[in-house]
Amino acid sequence: MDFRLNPSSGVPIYLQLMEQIKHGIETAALQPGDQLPGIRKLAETVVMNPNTVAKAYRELEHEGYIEVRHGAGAFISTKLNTRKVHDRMDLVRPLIEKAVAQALKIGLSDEEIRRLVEAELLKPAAVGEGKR
Amino acid sequence: MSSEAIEIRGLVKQYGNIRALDGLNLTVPRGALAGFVGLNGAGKTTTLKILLQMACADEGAAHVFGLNTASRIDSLNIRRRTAFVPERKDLFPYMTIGEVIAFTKSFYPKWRSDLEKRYLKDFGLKYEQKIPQLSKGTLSKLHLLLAFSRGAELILLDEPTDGLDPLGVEVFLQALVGLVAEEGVTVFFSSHRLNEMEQVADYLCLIHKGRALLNGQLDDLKTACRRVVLVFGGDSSPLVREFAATGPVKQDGRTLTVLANGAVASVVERAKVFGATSVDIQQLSLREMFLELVKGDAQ
Repeated sequence: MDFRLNPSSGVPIYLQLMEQIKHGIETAALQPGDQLPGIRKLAETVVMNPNTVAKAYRELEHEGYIEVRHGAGAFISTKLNTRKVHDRMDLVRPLIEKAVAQALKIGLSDEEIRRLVEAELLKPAAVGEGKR
Repeated sequence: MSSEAIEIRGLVKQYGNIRALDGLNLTVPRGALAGFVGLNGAGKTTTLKILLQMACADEGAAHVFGLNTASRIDSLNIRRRTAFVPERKDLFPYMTIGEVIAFTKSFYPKWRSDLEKRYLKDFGLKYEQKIPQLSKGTLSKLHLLLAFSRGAELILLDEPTDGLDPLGVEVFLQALVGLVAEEGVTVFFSSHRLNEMEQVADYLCLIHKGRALLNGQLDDLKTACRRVVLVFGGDSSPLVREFAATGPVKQDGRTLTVLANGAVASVVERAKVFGATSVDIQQLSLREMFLELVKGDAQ
């Protein structure tokens, strides 16, 4: 899998890496049992900090997306029920579809809609300020 | 044993009537790839020099691996374990690359011939090349090879990407992350290239007028530091004074822009009390953070 990070986007890099691995799982580019690159290998390929790769892997392990087997490396969790993520996404998809359709109807641009969603995600309640 | 690679407390350094360091506090944990950023004259080079006893502080203390930089015996141990690439890259002009390497490694018993060979290849250097014929970029690469191969636990770099072309920078950054991942060394490097810094650093020190404005995990600093853009129907002047304590504030007509460092929630809350009609919270890149903080302080 090809990872593309944008260091100047303002989003912490470990979160960007986590998102891309999760996205890979959701699109089935990464499947349960697949091995992820080693920390040093990934750090050198993407040219990013190895401690940041390790942090992303730790968080993904904590959230149950990957399993780290000592000496063997990191693998997409075989216990992972990707259906669950899909189900939860399906739950809100109609709401998002409706909101986007409405926004387009009153003449907002794609960029403006994106900004609205991002602003919503950045509100302190969504960011969980102080938590991390 | 200290868990910090570098620990600086209340450092003051006066050159004539110029106060280069003005009560600097900063730490760099072991195993970090730490960026050291600041304007020219902010005190970066002075700080690096004090760590290596190339300059002495007037007040305060600096420790490396728990050893006191001001003590002659401690400093010897620090310098055994620390590699330094200075901003001015002078080398003996009558030597070849092979001779410079042979000369340098005779001082360092922990010299890593495996790393020497690897960087020679990665950096595209040849033993028979003569020093005066090297470009500025090639000279920088040779300096990096010398620093990376000597088996140091701490590597101090002053503007290491100076003179490197984009490919050279990429190869350097790749070598740097590889070294941190594989050898577990601590790196503390100053640079003005904030995008590259943001790409590879996990820890950051932002120094301004001899004091640290930011010091911590880069991810945490980025999470805590946000730009909040507020729009008010009425007068928001009382808030300007209130927010000035949090960070730089800019009032432009109905719009109030606040750099909320670690206080996003309270800024948003106060703005709502004052009847803000729009609240926009923006994420900042390191470059934006740097410019906002430094400009804010200059006012």
